[in-house]
Amino acid sequence: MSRKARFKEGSCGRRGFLKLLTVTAVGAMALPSESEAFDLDAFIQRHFKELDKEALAKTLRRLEEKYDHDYGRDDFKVRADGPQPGVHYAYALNLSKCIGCRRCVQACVEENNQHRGDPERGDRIDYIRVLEMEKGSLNVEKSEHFYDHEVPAEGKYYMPVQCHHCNDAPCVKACPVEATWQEPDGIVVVDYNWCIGCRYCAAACPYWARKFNWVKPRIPSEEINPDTHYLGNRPRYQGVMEKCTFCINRVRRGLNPACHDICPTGSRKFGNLLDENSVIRQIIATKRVFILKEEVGTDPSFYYFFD
Amino acid sequence: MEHLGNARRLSPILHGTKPAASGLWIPLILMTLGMAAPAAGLTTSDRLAVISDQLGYYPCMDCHGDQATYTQPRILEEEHVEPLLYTDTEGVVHQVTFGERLAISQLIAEPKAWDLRSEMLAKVGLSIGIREYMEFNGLSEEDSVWVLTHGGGNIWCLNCHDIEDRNKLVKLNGEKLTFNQSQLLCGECHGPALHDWELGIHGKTTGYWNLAMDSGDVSIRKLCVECHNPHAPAFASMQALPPPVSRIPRRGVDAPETAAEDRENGGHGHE
Repeated sequence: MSRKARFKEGSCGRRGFLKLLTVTAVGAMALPSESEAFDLDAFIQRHFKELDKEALAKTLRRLEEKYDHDYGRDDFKVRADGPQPGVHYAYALNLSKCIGCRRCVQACVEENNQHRGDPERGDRIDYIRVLEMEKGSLNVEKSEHFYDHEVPAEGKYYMPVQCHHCNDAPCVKACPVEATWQEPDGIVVVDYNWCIGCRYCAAACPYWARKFNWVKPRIPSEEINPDTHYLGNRPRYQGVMEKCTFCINRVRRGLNPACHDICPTGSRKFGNLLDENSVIRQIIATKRVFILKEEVGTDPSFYYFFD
Repeated sequence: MEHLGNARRLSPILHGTKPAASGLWIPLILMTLGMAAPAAGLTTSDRLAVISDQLGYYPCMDCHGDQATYTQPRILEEEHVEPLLYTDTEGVVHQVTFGERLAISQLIAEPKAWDLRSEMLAKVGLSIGIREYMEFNGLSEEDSVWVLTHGGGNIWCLNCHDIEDRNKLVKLNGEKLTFNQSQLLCGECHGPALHDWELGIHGKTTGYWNLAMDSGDVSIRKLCVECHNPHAPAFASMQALPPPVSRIPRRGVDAPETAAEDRENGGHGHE
């Protein structure tokens, strides 16, 4: 029976509604059991920002044990390194140099334990989307995401887009449960244990930076990166939102993000916006810098430049 | 040399991303910047202090040391495509390609644990040992043919190479440079690029954005010739890694059947 026919016969009356409700409720109850075993400690865990030192340590230990068990390893490390005073991370990307080789996309997936996806379905989660753009145009609507050839192609330039870590972030404002926020060092993070999976943030983001775990992430245990951060690359649950964190597990220890270090062209630049000797400040001072979708007023920590 | 040790430890990260065309230059130059402050604050004198004690050897003089210098222009790639003669330790004369000859020089100059095996191989069959050595060090046969496209025909070997000592480079003012100071030579024509490189804007620096946070480690800034082949400096094109797979059918690209199938499977936006 088609949807139209059902409406005509009036089967969406009270009885039909109750039937629908029952089916939906059973479906909703079945969902968690498929993905995760019920964990009381995780269920009653407080918001990350409300965890005191002792509770945080206990949570991190619990997660390490869980991940070790889940992935059959014994080397999981879940950190919670805090922000450094006087640091605001910023990223700059040289559009004159990027050749669109997608090495950054690959390095990101490996570093951040993203869902590798079903090889047939190809639903891998990527934080970075490389847009193939017409030279002389800045129209992202006409960009090509799915190019698959030798790069750089004649007459094209390449613009990788990832989370811009906005200082006035629409995703943070959209979240109804405050499961996502901007840290004092500028990184916009998600507490995967607090996220309810409503996906309002994904709808709010103008940069297509938020990715949703439709299924329980599948990562072969030998490909897992066991060096993780609570707010970053620790394995995610089904039904939560995730995003680029500038590799929070690396940058909070002084290292560059993984996409930065893999780039064969040196297009990617990372540093502290508040340090006037940093490469970011040098670029802002000497190059033609622009912000993507400046008109939406999100005040990003991510800059593009030409030279 | 403490810094060098650290650089060696970090160097596989760099080498994994290197385009094949520049493979020849991997063992040449690895510059480390063991600075307490972020790399942007470094000056030329600091840089030289760091690199001066590193590799100064380049094997040109092994072949060219006893040859007269031709000053007439000629086709460079033709010069290096002819088989060369090499006499091994046993006194046996082998015909080798230019790439193999270079690999032999490097093997002698930079003995590694691996070379014990190739030394043995060298006695029974040189070419087999050298092939393995080249593979081990990421050298390919294409590296053995040098094509001079740099400068569009306006520059010649002796603009950069010293006329007497082929193991040295020479600046316009006659000052000789070792091969690990090549950025100073490049900067004579490419001044803005050198200036940007000093600031960290041009080129590639890996490791720590904040060196102060872990003073035991270093950042590595690649030299010009680690990314650009100085004889053919255009950045090589490469195959892009696979594209994302869309679950939203693309207009004019994906067939309509795919779209219907996708909806049945509960296809969602690729968020």
